[in-house]
Amino acid sequence: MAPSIWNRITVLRAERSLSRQQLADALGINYQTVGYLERGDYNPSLELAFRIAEYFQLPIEAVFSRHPFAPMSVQLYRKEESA
Amino acid sequence: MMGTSETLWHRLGTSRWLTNRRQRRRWVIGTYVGWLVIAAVVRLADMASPSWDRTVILILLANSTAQLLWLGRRTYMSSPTFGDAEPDERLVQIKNQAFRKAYQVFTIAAGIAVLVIAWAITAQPGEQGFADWFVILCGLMLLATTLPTTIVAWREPDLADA
Repeated sequence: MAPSIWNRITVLRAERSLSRQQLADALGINYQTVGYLERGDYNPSLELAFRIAEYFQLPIEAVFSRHPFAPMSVQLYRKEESA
Repeated sequence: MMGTSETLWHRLGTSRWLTNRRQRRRWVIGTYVGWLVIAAVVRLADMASPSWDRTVILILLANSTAQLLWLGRRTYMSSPTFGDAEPDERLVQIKNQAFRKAYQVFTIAAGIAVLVIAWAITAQPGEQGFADWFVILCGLMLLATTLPTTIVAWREPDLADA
């Protein structure tokens, strides 16, 4: 089943060189849950979604979306070109 | 909040090999097939044996006890223990789904069991009828006490896949 909510947790975690366990510990969740979130097999509660966004110090819409995300590199270059 | 590398199965107090789904599923099948085997033995047993009913009761109790021990007593009776490790929201969801499914399955099983027990008592008065309804009752008890846990055991993926 296709996920109804997309997220960038995998990318954000990789950028910060965090293991699933480290992220899970920081968020107070099971590390398996991080895997489920990353694969889109589990949609977090609003509270957990906000906690994740706060942890990455990003607005929630930068981490979660109801539509698939464009690659970060594409978005960055588009911003630079339009600026 | 949980801050360790515990897995769901470690938290449930079961051993490390239970993180393997195939093993878990074998145990779940064994749990209920064990009861079916005993039920078949009861049906086919020689009623002339004087110690027969006592033996069957002991076997049934041993079966139920073994399954409960294997399941680490993580049943509805010890649900406070099940939840006291503060599982995260996904694990709570899994637990709640398991309890819901267990209730559905148990309701159907109990409905069928009542009909079979009624038949066993009326159609077979005497020891065979008693043995039959006792076996069915033990099966219901086994279902009631183990179903939520076995549903989680059946559904949870391998640790490596999670």
